[in-house]
Amino acid sequence: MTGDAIVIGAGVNGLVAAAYLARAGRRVTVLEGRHAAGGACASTTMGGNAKAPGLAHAVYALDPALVRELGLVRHGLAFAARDLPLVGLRPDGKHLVISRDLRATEHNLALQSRADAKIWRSYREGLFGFARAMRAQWWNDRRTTAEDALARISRQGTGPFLDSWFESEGLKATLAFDASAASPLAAGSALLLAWRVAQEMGGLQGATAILRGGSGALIDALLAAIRVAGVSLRLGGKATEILVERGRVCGVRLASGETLSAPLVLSSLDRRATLVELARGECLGLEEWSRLANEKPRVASAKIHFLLGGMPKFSGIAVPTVSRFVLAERWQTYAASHAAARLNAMVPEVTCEFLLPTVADNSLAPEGLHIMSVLVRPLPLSPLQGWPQLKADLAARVITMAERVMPGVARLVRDVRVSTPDQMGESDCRDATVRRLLASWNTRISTPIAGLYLCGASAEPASAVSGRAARIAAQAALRDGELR
Amino acid sequence: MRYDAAIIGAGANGLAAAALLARSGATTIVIERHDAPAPRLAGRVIHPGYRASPYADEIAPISPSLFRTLGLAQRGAIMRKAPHSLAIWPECRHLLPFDLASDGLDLLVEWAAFAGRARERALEVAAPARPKLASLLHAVAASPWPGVEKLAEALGDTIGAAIGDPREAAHVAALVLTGRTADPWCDGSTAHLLAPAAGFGGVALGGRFSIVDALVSAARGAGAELVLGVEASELRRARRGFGIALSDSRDIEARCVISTLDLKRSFLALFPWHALPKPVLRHAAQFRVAGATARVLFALERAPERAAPETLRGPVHIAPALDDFARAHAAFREGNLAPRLPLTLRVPSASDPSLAPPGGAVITATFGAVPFRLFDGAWTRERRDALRAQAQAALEMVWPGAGSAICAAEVVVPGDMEDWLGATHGDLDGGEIAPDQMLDLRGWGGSPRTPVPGFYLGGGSAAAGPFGTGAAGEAAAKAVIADLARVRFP
Repeated sequence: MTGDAIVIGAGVNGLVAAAYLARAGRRVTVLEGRHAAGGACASTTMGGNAKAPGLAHAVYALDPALVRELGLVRHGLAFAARDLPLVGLRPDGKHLVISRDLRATEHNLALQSRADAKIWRSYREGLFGFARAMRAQWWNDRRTTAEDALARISRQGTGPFLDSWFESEGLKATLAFDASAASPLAAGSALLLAWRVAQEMGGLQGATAILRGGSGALIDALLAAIRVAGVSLRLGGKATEILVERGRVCGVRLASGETLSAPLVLSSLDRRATLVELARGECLGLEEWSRLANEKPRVASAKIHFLLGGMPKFSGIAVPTVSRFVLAERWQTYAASHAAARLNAMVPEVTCEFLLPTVADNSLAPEGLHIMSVLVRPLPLSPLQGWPQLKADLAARVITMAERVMPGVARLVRDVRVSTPDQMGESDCRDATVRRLLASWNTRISTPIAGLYLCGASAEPASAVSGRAARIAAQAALRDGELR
Repeated sequence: MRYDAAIIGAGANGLAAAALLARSGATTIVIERHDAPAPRLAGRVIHPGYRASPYADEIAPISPSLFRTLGLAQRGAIMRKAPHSLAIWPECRHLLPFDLASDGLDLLVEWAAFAGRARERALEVAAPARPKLASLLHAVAASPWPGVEKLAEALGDTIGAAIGDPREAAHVAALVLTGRTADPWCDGSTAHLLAPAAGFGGVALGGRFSIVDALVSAARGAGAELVLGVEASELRRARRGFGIALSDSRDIEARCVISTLDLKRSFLALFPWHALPKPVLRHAAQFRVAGATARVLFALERAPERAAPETLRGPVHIAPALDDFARAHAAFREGNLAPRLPLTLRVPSASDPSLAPPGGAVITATFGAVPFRLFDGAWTRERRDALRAQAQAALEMVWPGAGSAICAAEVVVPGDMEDWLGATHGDLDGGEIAPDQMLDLRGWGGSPRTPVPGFYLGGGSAAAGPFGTGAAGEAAAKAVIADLARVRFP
């Protein structure tokens, strides 16, 4: 069978790439190894008919250009909540509610520290301003105008950076979660904070949103878009080899032995899986090959869903329930966890973010039932004891932490589902955070094999549900097709 | 009394600065709170007849230009390169002479060259009078720094990319991290490769005192006044320079002041805090110090008998793998001591016989990743004894039977170093070594000048501080000479 292009993986990025290629008139086949599309966004069901969000429970980095160009709103994409406040839950009940409302936030921060409340406005304006200037680089691949600030912040760790602004441990720990993909002591990890607020959701800078119908709704809208464009989607079609001839990609072999030929292949897997495993190291220099082959993943995250038989009650001051909640003691906790995770040891103390998506969207679960969706980060990718052993323990540790700020929540738990890092199949590899954040789009998406592009989340500056890498890779692939 | 320049601290930096300034014709005074100059270089008596430095056995390299200008060789200081030969224990019990480990040596030579270029650049930056801060920052961040982006990588990855053999990689890490701490898997730890004395320091041929004597004679010979046993207790900004209150109740005036104290102490201890602009206080508060060195000094009645000659010449590192440094650092961060602390054994009396009586020996153990403050209490006698026991066990392992010859032992923890030396938290590097600290927080824009006109940083916390003995003093003196030449000052 032949076509114009093959896309490997039917997650958000794979579907976006396919949609762009098909809209330009290419015959596109999407291969998905599993029996459902969705990847990190696929929803799961719990307790009969409650819909739990997939690995990505909130979206904050979705590329506005592709939402517009693919007409996703027309295909049914809608927000259940467009701008979630960030809530740092504290055992003393003085929770930190950080929202777009500066006055309310200042008032709330003053509960922990007056100095923090006073400086909050300049911190936020400074960071948002710097992040906007960085969009030139992160969105459009142009040089930023904020070069001096960039040089400084790209050497700073999140911890020292936050220390230079704030005094309250709670506030720093809450803000640091967004940069917890890297150790807060790692040089340049502070840049992750800026990357996060450089994004835009629903026209609001730095907003975090939840989609109506769960994050699976994004997949449904994309599936509708590719159906209109005429893409063929093959579920259960696992790619086992990328075929290369004289330095040019020429097709893909499937697990069934079938061969599909096409002059363009876009892979949503990471660089190592694509080039070393699927393309068998073709066209890679020895140095590059050994770098990729020996690349050890650093740290990972886990996803836990609790099905609750009722709405949990928060201790302490009132907090908005449609929020994302962070449970973390101090920023040093992340540093200790990263250090342990890099040595394949279980983290001494758990840090997590959680959402109650059923409060914002009552279509997700039957009356009275709620889903608590927890993202635990950082964790070791493959701890020495093995994940099967640690799985139940991890859920217990999270619920014990939650119990301190939501007394009685443990009794509400009806069902638990844990996706550990080894099941999620994706993790950040050992690539210095700064180097990845500041690489040009071309180096992120292109490969030494002509016609083969990377379009997955690992081609983004930082892993997130975004689709920007897929849009840019598809556009590059189309230009490449025209040149030939 | 009114001086052109007052220098606080008569260490290598202070003496070098004093000699250079006095040579240029400026009236110069050096104020030292200890009774003897350069306590860090000189060492102290640990047992009748035995001397050792509580801080370090080797001396960070002195730049050749400083050596020549001050005529240190004529004054009796002859430096010899510290031996590189080293061994690693305990997993691989055999010796790995470092001279043969060419990959690792290449890496270190390359980075030592980077550090040398950075030092040269720091001196260049010091010379012109007050260029704009932004252009300074740019100048410093550009070429001399071996690709700023390299600094942002993890030390383990940098070493791993150059060296395939894990034992040799552990050697290099041990050499770089002796008496320090870093997580080799954390981005940014490569900055440690820039730090001083990464095996490229030296030992003074005529004993440690020869170098101190040479520096003192260079400073005095040029006409600088040296006041010992007196502390500068307060600095006041006066109309034309500074008023300095001394602990012997004298009051002197100086047109400009070079502080060789660390950045935190320079601003937070010398000045009354309300006298400083807010951004300066903020900078001083942001600056991070991380003392991590503990030493055990042993006096031995007789030198180890059954000893391989290499182990007497070079340092012996007891640090089997990179992961051990990562574990030790994680414990350090939490105010804990790791069960297996990396440590280095040296026999300073083998290269400097003046340290011990004939037949005797001085052996030192240098620990890294020892916290200044323990999370669960003070540095009690029991805890010090535990460190000593660990050092003694290592000593017995390397030189069987040597333990019975020990006649005295002294344990020095970071808190002692703070008390004796005045280094905040006992940080011998003058500040934590990390990319942002090296490029942005040490001093202002790579220059020894500070936002307080007439006040200069010439110590370990200054931009040139980590690049060798006397380098920061040299840079500060150059800046002062350039600025004094201008008519209206400050």
